Amino acid sequence: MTRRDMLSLCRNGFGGIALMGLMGTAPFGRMLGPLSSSSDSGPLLPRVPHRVPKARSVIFLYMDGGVSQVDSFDPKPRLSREHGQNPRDKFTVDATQFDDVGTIMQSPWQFRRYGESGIAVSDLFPHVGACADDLAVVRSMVADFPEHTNANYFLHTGVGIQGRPSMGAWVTYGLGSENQDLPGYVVLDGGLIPSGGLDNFNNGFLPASYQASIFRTGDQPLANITPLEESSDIQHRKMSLMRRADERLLGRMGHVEEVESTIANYELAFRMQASVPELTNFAGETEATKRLYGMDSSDPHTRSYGAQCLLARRLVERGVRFIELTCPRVETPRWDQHANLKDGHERNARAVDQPIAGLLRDLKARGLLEETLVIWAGEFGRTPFAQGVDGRDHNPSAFSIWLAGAGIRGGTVYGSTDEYGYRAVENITTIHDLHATMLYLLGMDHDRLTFRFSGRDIRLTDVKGNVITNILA
Amino acid sequence: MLREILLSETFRRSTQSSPQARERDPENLLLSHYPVRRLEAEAIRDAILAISGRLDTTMYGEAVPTHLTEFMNGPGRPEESGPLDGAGRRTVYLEVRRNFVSPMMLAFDRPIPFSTFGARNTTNVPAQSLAMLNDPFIAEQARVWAGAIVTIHHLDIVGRIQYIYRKALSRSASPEDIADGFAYLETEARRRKLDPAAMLDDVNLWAAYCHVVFNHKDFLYLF
Repeated sequence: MTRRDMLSLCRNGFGGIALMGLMGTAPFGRMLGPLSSSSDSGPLLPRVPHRVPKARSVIFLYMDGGVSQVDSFDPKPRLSREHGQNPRDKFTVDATQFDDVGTIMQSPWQFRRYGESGIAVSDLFPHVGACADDLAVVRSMVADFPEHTNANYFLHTGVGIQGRPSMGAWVTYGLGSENQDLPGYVVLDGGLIPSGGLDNFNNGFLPASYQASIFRTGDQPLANITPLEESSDIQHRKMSLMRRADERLLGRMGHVEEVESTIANYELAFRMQASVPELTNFAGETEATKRLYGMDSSDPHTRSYGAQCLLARRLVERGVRFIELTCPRVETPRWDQHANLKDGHERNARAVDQPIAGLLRDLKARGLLEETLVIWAGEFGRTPFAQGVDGRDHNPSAFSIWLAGAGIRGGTVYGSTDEYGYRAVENITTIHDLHATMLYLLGMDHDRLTFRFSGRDIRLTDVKGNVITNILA
Repeated sequence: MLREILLSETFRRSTQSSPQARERDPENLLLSHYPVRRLEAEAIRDAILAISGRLDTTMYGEAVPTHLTEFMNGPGRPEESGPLDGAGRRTVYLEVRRNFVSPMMLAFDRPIPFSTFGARNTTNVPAQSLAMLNDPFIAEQARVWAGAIVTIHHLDIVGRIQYIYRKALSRSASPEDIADGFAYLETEARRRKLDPAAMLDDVNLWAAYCHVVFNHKDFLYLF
């Protein structure tokens, strides 16, 4: 490339820089540190954070529909003692989604204490329980919304309405990615797209390059990943012709964000033709590793979620910044057991328990857990009293989540709920606090990660959020 | 009413925005410039068929069975696949099977037909670039179009490039577009060991070029 070519490309913003990759030149941004704005260079090039980060990547294990806290990580013996009694005799009952308030319902599962920390975990999660000393369980979560769609937007974007940037988009906007051959933000679609749809994974007002790429289960996570041309040089020549046309288009049109992102996507797509097949080829994984993830299970959903967890580890190894796993489509979809709690929660737990524990153990054995933040959370909790006879309704006033890995003090329990597990009472923790903590561990100050939009410097945490310092190592 | 809107100064604004406008009205609520629009999934497919000459504009009639790829698996899979090109029918006449949605349609945000959908997403992801580069439908239509182009004997190479640009992008090719296209076709012909005389008749050569034109960003976007 001549100096003149270089200068004319640089004038055209990151679309132009993206083109340089196609021309066989290493984008020089790879060697650079901080960048003043995303349009100065490739959108996914790594950027220097505000402080030395603890975490390099995030794996977000999204528990779609809302796991019941009193049946998983928040034991409440009083529910057994008062089983079958009228909750309205005990406490104020808020309006529920289905207005079908039954009697106080004990957990169908026993709790056991695990590890040196002695954290109590129910028999829904024996494998995750065995990793208790790596977990920081937050039992005092609250959400602003009692209904899936808004609660999902709130959990994913920090705002309960559609159209805001997802936390994965914020993170890749803030930090870029360490791998230029894969998207920086990947959603592994286990079969269930959350209520609220793909807008949970969107870039909102951030540049389009930061939205999630959705990988499906199976050998071929993306369609059309294989080039049709009989040899790679034929495709190379096509790309170089296209690149020159793109360059002229940018010269004519100036800054058009959508088009620049599309050009960057072509560049990325071109490299993904090689990087994705390599990523999803498990041939190099031992049988022992696959067993660790439950990939030999008799339950097809365990096998499938196990493969997703293994893929998540492989994405972390390759420097992908933010990975979200959605739940498999078990026979009783989602953790949303308005009826039949026992059967539904058991099916969901069986699908994810062993794979998640396998992921934690494998990350740890490879030294990756210390630089990977793992977050396990749903959008809200469930009521300690029954919906109908054997279900539980939505409850935004209390739920449990856990974090593990980079910068997290394992074996910690933080916050608590009342004696029924109905409301968070001590160290009440919000989704904004979760987001602030995640950004902190990634080396970013949540009140400094901003994007100018609509006349405001907007944050993931709006004007809220406090880092949960008590769970940090 | 439509005439009023279409002839208005606002509607005829260019898509180019000034830095001041972007600063003062980032959401373009005051419509100081026209929003850049990406074609919707169906429009991309229909436009490709229209350009290649394969489009069947017949109205009404039976839905065309879904084309199935190895990628589209699962319970309820029909025994036989429909044609790759949907028999040239407009996308609105293609069968929609809930569990067997075309990857290309999906990539370009045609909603997954599990429930009603208020407003479509307009995403911008590498899966779209992969579809435009590697989807067999697009490569096939590039060949269909090339098959028609090699029968246009009264146009030389430059004339054909101009014809291709006008047909696909509704604009004339610039001198640079023509020079690039010419150089590409020559190089490609040389690698394929075609003699200059055979260039005008080689379907594969022109199909490769047409495929690239389908991948121009001003084909996907309306400015």
